[in-house]
This record gives sequence, structure tokens and C-alpha cells, in this order.
Amino acid sequence: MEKSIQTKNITVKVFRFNGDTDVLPYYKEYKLEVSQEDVVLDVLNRIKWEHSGSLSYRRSCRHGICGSCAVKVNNKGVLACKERVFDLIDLFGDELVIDPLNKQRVIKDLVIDKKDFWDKYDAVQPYLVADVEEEPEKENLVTPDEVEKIADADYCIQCGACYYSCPVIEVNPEFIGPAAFAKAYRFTSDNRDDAKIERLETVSQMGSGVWDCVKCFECAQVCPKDVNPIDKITRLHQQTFQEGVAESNVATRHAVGFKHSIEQHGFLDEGGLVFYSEGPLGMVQHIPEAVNMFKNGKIPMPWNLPKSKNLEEIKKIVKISSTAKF
Amino acid sequence: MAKKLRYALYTGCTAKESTPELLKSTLAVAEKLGIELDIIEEASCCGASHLQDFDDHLSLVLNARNLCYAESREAPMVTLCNTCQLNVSMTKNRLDFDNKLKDRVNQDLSEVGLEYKGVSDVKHFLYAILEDYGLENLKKKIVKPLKNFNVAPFYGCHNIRPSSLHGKNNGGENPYVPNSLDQLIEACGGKPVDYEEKNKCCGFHADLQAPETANKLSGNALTGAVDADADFMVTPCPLCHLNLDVKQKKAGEAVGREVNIPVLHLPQVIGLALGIEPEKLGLNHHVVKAVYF
Amino acid sequence: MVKEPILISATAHYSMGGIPTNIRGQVRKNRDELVEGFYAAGECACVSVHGANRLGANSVLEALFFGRHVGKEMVKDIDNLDFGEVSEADAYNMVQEINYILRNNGIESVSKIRDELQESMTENAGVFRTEETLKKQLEILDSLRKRFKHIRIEDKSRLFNTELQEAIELGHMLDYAKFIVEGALFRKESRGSHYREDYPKRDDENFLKHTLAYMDKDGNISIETMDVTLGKFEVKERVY
Repeated sequence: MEKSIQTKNITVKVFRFNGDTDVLPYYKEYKLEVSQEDVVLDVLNRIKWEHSGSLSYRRSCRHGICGSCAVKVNNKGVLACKERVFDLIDLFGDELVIDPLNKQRVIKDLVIDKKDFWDKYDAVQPYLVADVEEEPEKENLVTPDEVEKIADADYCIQCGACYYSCPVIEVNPEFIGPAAFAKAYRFTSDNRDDAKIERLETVSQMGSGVWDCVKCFECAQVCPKDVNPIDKITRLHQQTFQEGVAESNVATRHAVGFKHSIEQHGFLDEGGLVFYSEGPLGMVQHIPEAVNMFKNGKIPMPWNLPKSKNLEEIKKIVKISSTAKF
Repeated sequence: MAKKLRYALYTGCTAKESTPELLKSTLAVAEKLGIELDIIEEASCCGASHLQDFDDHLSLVLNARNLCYAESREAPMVTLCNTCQLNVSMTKNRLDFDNKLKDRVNQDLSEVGLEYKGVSDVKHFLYAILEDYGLENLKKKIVKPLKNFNVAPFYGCHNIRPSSLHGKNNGGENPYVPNSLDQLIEACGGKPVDYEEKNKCCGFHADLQAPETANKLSGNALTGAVDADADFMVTPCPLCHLNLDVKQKKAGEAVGREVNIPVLHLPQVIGLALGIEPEKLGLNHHVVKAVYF
Repeated sequence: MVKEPILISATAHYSMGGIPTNIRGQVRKNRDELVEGFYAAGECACVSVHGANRLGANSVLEALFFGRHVGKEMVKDIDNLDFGEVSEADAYNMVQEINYILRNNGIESVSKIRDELQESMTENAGVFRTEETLKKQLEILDSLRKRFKHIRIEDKSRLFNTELQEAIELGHMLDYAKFIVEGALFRKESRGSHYREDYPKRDDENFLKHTLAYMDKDGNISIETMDVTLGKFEVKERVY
């Protein structure tokens, strides 16, 4: 069956703000006819070229490899040159709101100051650290198996869609964030790299590192290049244990505590796990909640702790399938 | 309905411990709707994405084992917790797409006489009701509609993200504009309210090491719901529930507000609309009491 | 099978030619002289490693190899180079170019002129061209260049002004288009990606030469040629 190119009429509201002349930001509305071929960048270009030349946004390559043009449409982070307008209409209807990735960091319209993003990116040394000969006589061999470890981490184009969608960044400005973590993993998993331990130490700092991730999967959802940053964050966690970089703290003990709890009970001993993670001193801060929970029947007595049936089987699995040590 | 629905119930840990009301209310609702839930008592903890940070292989084998017990019951697995749903289905997904990995896991499982085959689906109770039981069928059983209640749905991350993993088993729910809970609230006679944080994170998984982060995120969600004029919130996830209910005071303080809003588990809301007594739904277990019922 | 139309269009993938340099990346002033302290590398440069048509993926040579190589050559030279003299008039010219665009209160739109430039260049000076289409394009260019003097942009701010940037770029594109068309008119033969339908054969006797083109203040182009240094490979037709 032959089809012709479909078009739809939509209303686009674009965030506008020029720090030189505007006191407050505002939304400007444009009515456009868009076709099934159009991506968000086509819409922005048409607004700029046909309606308002002063509309400002970053763009360069126009085919999803430079990472300049990420914006938010109806709060969904998108790479403007890749996201089809028709797909967005399916999601949000015929009124689309185009925002900068982060409204607090706007320089002009959709252009933001990405300094925080780049500073954190720099912090993980986003380049190969290796003592490579200036003019080598043969290549530094990386086998297909080794490349597989790097996986999709190398596809990152630093567009910032994940970073500016990360809820931790919003409340903790120190957090390194998903893009830089994925980049760190790209090099900690490269057999030619000599800075593995240093990088793992950087990303496992409390307050800024991987342990502060809330595992919301926003980064995996939003990434236009399928880098799956949360998967790389998980692997960085694992590498800190494998390489002996993990220090004993509430976060590492919490992760390891799951194994002990499962081995003893099958199910978790939730109270025991918190105690194991926090230690006796750390427990103090949880007392008010613990009292409330106890009053409301949320803490089982030790003799009532749930235990899995076939617990011996679980103990055996923990014994034979464990691959990590701490 | 033509066929009686039957599931292998993976309770997870929280429904057996700190949110006993979740298990209670789930069983009560299932009984009322004629859904058979066969509890997998052999199951272990799913690792809650924390064991995964330490020992990936062990978490795979444990969750494959959990799935084996749904398979031996010849039933799809149903979960009560978003994070269980994530970890079990992530395991399933990885094993089903990677035969080498599956063989390696099965080699360990064979030591205890088990084999993971990949024949049982995994879905959260929310979507079992929505997709399998059906909203129309549910509506027919509503006897005490939650009329005049504004209800704030709180979706929780691990049921909706990543959509590439969940799409098959959550009716293609869109993580940016989820509507399953909204639909269920409506079916139960309530009025779903819209607010920005409904598909955002409560911060539970950083509770211990980054309490400020977790409290602020929960605080934002709670105040978002309050400002949208919600009478109470509803969530399908017991971990979100812990942060929103048990830690509500601290969460409010973290965003500089005093908050007092009841948070219900999904099956409690359905149960109330089905006319089940609040006691049987475990409403007495909440820290912030749902005084209306 | 579902048949659906998809939009396709020509896109500039690579520019053959560019700023002429020697193998060290030093920019040529003409056949015999260099511009002291001026280097070019990458896709803007023409070291002449590719001849009249670059083979697929071979811009890597320009982008990677010459980027590194020319950088190293510059480091070697830098201690022996003095700053060139700059007059206030030079700076004034540059400021003028920007101010003209910012302040000009005309009626022409940058994007419209650019669209017409792109479409007419594809039509008349694409891979297949004739004296007739090229001459026609010269007329079009003259008219577009006149119209460019009457542009007006909306954005007068000094902050991230991409409209100003697009206008400056358009001015340069109009210049560059003229180099392309005059170069193509001059070369009465077919070679590489330059295909003159009125001269379909390669003519080594007259045109086994580099074209050097110069633009004067009024936008007129004059052309010189430079001998080609042939390496170990003889010039051949590309037959695949």
C-alpha cells in the first residue's frame, strides 16, 4: 500500500529568555504544520528561519553525533535532531512545550551554561591514560571480548540529557552524575588504561559518587544513544569491590549485608540489615522511625522474622554462586 | 471472566516485614476478586538492586531460582514491589536473551536440582489487575466508590523505567505520562490529581547513605501531592510507601514543610472500593493514619 | 510490504579543495609564496593529497593525520615567528562586518537567501554542470550578493547571537560559491567530481593543474594555475 507523507497542525510553546533584555522568561507560542519526517530540530529551525530569527538554541551536526541540541519537550529530555515530532504528538498531544534542559542555567532561550556538566565530566579524566609510544610500530590490541566490556558506554555524545534529568543533581549539586559515570566506566573497562584505580576512587566518594545514585533509571530512559548509564553505574559499584577500592561504610556494608541476610534468612532481616550497615552509633538516628514502626506493627519480633522455605537450598546457592568478596 | 486467574505470588521482603498491610490487603483483594495467589514461600530476597552492586552473578542465580518456583507452579509470577519487579524481570530478560549466561546460571542451579526455563512471565500486581483482570470487570465489583476523594497517584520508578524492559508487562505504560494508577483510581470512583512528581523518584535506594537526597525527593513528592489538593496518595511500591509514610515527617522537614497526608498501598485503595473493612486491609499499620476510613 | 515515501536531499559531505597549503600546513599566498605564520589543517585545508575526488572515508587523513602533523610543524616554527603587524583599520573592517549586519535595516531574510543559494548551487553547479548553467549561476550569485546587502536580522543582542552568526556565514558562503562557480567555468574538462557535460573528457594537456583563485575587494575572481606534483601513482580514471 502506498502512503503519502502525513502532516499535522500543532502548537509549539517555546521557552524564551534573553538575559540582556528580559527580566523574566516567558513562553512564545507558534502554530506549525509538521510532517512525519520532522524532528524537533526541524521545528526549531523553522521557527528561527520563518518566525523569529532571535530564537537561540545549540545545534551542529544534525545527525545525532555531536550532542549539542538536547532540550526538553513536555519535560522529556530529547536530542532535538533525533526525536520525531510525530512520536511526541503520540505521547503528549498536539501542544508541545519546548524547554531548555535546565531552566536555572539558561543563558538565552534554549541555550544553557553546561559548565557544571563539563566540570564533572573532567573530574573522571575522560580520556585514555596510558603510556603509549608516540609512534608505535603496532596497534595496542583490544580483543572483541574486551570491547564488549566497554559495551555501549562509548556511544555517549555528552548531550547532557541524562545529567539534567537526574533527580539527584537537582538536590545535590556535588553529585557527579550519570554521563560522567558512564564515561568513567568506559575507561575503567579499557584494558589499555592505567588510571583505573584513581578513577574508581573518584567515583566512589561519598556525597558525589555512585553510592549517591537513587537508581531511578531516568538516565537509562532518557538517553538518546542507549548508553544505559545506570547499568554502567552498577558495574562501577561492582568494580570498586573487585579492585579493592570499596571502603567499609554504610553504603558498601548495606550492599554486602544483603548477601549475609539472604544467607541467614532467605528473605531480608530488614532491621538487622540496617544495623549491619549503620553500626550501633548510626542506628541512633533511626530510633524515632523505629519506634513509630514498632508501634504500628511494622517490625516483627526476632522469633517472627520471615524465613524462606528450603533455606538450606539458598545457603548452598550463596555458597556456590558468590563471586565477590569484601 | 472466562478463566480464573492464578499467579505465583512473589511477596518480596517488605510485604512480609515493614509493610505487612501490603500483603494483607493484596490477599484480601485477590480473594474478593477470585484471583488465586499461590505464595512462593521458597523465594529469597531479590537483592533490591543493592546485592546487584556487590555480586551480579549471585543476584542472577537467586532471582533465577525465584523464577524457577513460579515455573514449577506453572503460573506467571506476580510481584508486589516495584523493585522486586525490576530485579526479577531484569534477570529474566538477561537470561532469556543470552543463552551462555543462562547456561552458566543453570549450572549453579543444577546443584540444588533446579533449572530456569524462562516460561513464567513476571508482572506487578497493578498490571495483573489492569491487564489481566480488566478495569471493566473491576468496576462491576465496586460497591463503595471512593467518591469525593482526590487521590494522588505515585508510580514509583521501577515499574515504569526503563520502558524497554517493562513495556511487555506493563501495558506499554509511558514513563513520561503514566496513567495506569490514574485509571485504577477512577475505576474505584476516586478522582486522580495530576502533579509533577507523580512519576519521579522517592529516593529510597539512597536512604541510608544519602538521607538528605532521599528526604528531599520524598518531600517534593509529598508536597506536590498536597499542593494538588490530594486527600491521600496511592503507590504500588512498598519502598516508596516506607519513604512517604514512615519517613513523612523528615521528608517534609527536608523541604521546609509540615506535611500530613495518608499514603495508601494500591490494593488498599482497591479493597476499600470493593467494600473490604479497613481493618482487613491493614490501614491501622500506617504511621500517618488514613482517618477517612 | 508497506511502501512509504521518505524525504531525501543532497548534502555537502566534503569539500574538495580549500585553503591551499604545503605539506607542512603552511598556507600558500600564491604559486611561489607562503603566508608567514598562517597554517591550515583538516577539512578546510587543501594539501592536495586527494586530487579531484576524495575516496570515501579518506578525510580521516586530513582530519587526524594532518591535524597532528601540522600542529607539530607549528611548534617547530613558533619560536622563529614574530607577530604580524595589525592596524586599527584591519580591526575596524572586522567590527564593521558585524555592525553592518547588526544595524542594517533591510528587507531581505538570511534564511531565504541561503535557501536560494543552496538550491541554485545544487541545480546549476552540482556535480554535473555546463557553461550555460554555470554562467546562469554567476548571475544568480550576483543578484543574491546584492540582496545580501539588504538583509535585516531580528536579534540585535550580543548574547549567543546565532542569527548574527548565520548571517556572517551566509556572506562567506556567497563568496565561496563564487570561487566554486568560477573555478568550474575555468576548467573546461571533466575530472573527479567535476563533470562538465559540455567537456566530458579529461584534458591532461591543459588542465593537469591546480586552480588558484583570488577574490578582489569588489568580489571579482581571477584565476592562476599551479603545477601538480605527481607522486608514484599515475593519473587514472575512477571506474567504479
